[in-house]
Amino acid sequence: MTATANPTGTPKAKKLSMKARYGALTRDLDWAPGYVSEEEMYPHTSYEGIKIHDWSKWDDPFRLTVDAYYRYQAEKDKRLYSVLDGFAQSQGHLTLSEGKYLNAMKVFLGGVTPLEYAAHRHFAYLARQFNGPGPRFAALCQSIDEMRHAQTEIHTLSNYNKYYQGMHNFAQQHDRVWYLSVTKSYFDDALSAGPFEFLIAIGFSFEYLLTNLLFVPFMSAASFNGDLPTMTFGFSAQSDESRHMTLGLEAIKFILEQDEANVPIVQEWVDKWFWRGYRVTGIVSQMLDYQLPRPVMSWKEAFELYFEQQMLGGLFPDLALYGIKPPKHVDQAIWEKDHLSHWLHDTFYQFSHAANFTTTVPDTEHLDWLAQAYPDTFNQLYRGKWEEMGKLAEEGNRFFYPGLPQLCQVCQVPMVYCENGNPHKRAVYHSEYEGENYNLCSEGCKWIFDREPAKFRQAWLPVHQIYQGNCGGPTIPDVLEWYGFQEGDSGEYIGSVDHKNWIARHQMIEDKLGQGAGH
Amino acid sequence: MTAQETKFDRPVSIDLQENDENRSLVTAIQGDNADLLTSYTPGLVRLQAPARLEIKRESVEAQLGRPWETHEFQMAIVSLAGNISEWDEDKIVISWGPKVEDDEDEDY
Amino acid sequence: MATPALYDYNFPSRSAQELYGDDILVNMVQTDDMWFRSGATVRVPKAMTWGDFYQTQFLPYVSANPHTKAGQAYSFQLQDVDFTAKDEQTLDELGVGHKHTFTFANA
Repeated sequence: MTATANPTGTPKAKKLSMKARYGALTRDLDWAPGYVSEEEMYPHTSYEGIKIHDWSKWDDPFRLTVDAYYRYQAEKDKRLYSVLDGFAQSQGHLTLSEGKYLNAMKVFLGGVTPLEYAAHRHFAYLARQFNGPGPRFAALCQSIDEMRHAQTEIHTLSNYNKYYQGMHNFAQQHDRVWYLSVTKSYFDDALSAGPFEFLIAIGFSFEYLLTNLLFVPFMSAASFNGDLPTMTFGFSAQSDESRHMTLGLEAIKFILEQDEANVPIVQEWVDKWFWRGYRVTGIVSQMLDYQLPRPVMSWKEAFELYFEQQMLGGLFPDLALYGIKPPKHVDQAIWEKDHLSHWLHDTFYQFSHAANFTTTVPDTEHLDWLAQAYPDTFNQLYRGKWEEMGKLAEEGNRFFYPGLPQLCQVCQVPMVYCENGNPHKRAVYHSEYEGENYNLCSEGCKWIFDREPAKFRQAWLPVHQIYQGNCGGPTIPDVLEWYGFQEGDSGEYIGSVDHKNWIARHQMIEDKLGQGAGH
Repeated sequence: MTAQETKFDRPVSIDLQENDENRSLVTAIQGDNADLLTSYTPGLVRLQAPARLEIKRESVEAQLGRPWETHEFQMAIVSLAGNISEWDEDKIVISWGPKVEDDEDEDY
Repeated sequence: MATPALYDYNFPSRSAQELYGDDILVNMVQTDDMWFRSGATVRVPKAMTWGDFYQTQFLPYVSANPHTKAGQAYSFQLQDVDFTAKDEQTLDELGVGHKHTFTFANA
């Protein structure tokens, strides 16, 4: 910012305090409608049963104004894009820990990036629909942030797309591929809810309760695996995230303070959206534990730090002052921390012939790391199967699942879970609604279904759609073609296109080094 | 790599990018907060404090040797646990516990 | 509870039986072995006999599990209730409904 001249020579006005500037540039720009009623101007903020008496009580601790917002966002982008350029120019993709590391990024690009874009759209909707200028402005900033995140993620990963399979068709795949329906349907559930439920679903339950589990260890892992661009976009996005977390926390407190009748409604949303979000972050659990050649932090450890310690230990005692209890079914999530990633990566391994990533059995060193990270469960329950699958692969009988998986009607994850507390008992729950049977993976998803069966019966379950003939044709090759997969996108990593290219490129470097040394 | 176990019941924390500029910021915060726990994971530094953590503009400026706006903190932060209970031109306070009404006039 | 909406909220199931003509979806889940990480879903005619279902759907599936021994006998439950059938009975006659789940284990 350049200083403006003061041609009149009059004394400069005293600089406003941060709070006064925020007031002048956001709230003072609001007006009361004269030609229409408030109800006509904001028709979407009453039907969910939430009562708001005084919108001016919404507090934005960041006190952000438009000029400051754009100044800092521009600086963030400038820093990111100089890293992206440097990395691309220096053939940075050759310095990754291993080629298979990028499988984690393929999951991220298809599973998470489109959600950023969806969040951009919906926060723009909130920026129009909320009655108060405080939440409208915060939602507007978040809407622009989310667009920036979608763009910077795509831009960052586009460099890898020049060299690696599995990333070339992520947007279409987000709408079609079986496992990506988990993240898509989660967000669609939030988008199709009212504005307050969306705010609790995404602003609070996702951004505040769970987003640290997704981003922080993952970006630290990018740093540890030589992926400088991802680390940089991740931290750049997270710097906005702390503002989004604050919005989420302000949102829930504001709603709870406005009227006691809001408390039970919010409690049910917290219960629902904790479990919905937790099931989605399961995908992250297997990224952290299995997809990183150099792991940084286990899912169990991340869950204990970012969820149990910071949220259950730090946040919920504050929310108890308003009468809000920790989410229903949280005890199951705590029990599952020792099992979750092992179940889910096993699923990814068995179904990777139908995915946009490759998998392979972890090597002995990695299995030992898992044993150390999961001293009570890994060697006891999961190691033997990996070794067995590894042996089959060595014998030329790499195992892939022989059919289509049964899916949960709510979370859309294949039915891979066990009953709470018993890793030997598979969980299969049912509900009936208007004469039709629905299958659910857990008490949490069953509770969510039974609460709103008219909503969840509409779920677009990939397996059911394939059997209806809506996904390209009756055979698996038809479906994979409809997904837009190409040679090398899927299956086993060892011997895959990415693996061969990785070896060839590194041999080329060694040959060149060899020539240099021998002259 | 293991994250440090906290010794506090209800820690507040901030995760910052570990880079050159933020080293001054970390030093300033360490100077202003007794009982601070500092831990590292690749690319990140985490500061945890029992219930309350304060960042003072004056201390950060003394470390950086240049003027620093509290808004600049947004360039450094990756994540936090706690409420942002105060944020003005001189300080940022992160804490748990009931909301503290600030003393500025409520005209805005 | 009803899903809150500003209009009459009523949309059909995207997996309703009518969308599959004379067929139904049936699920199979092995409970005493964790080799298959997930249960499976198949599409079969309502009029398929249990004998056909066993030979063309069940056996090929369970045989893909390397732990499976040839000639192994199994016990079944349908929707959590013990289930026995004669080969010539049809799924319809046996009360196997759309999206019902068979759980099975070594007998």
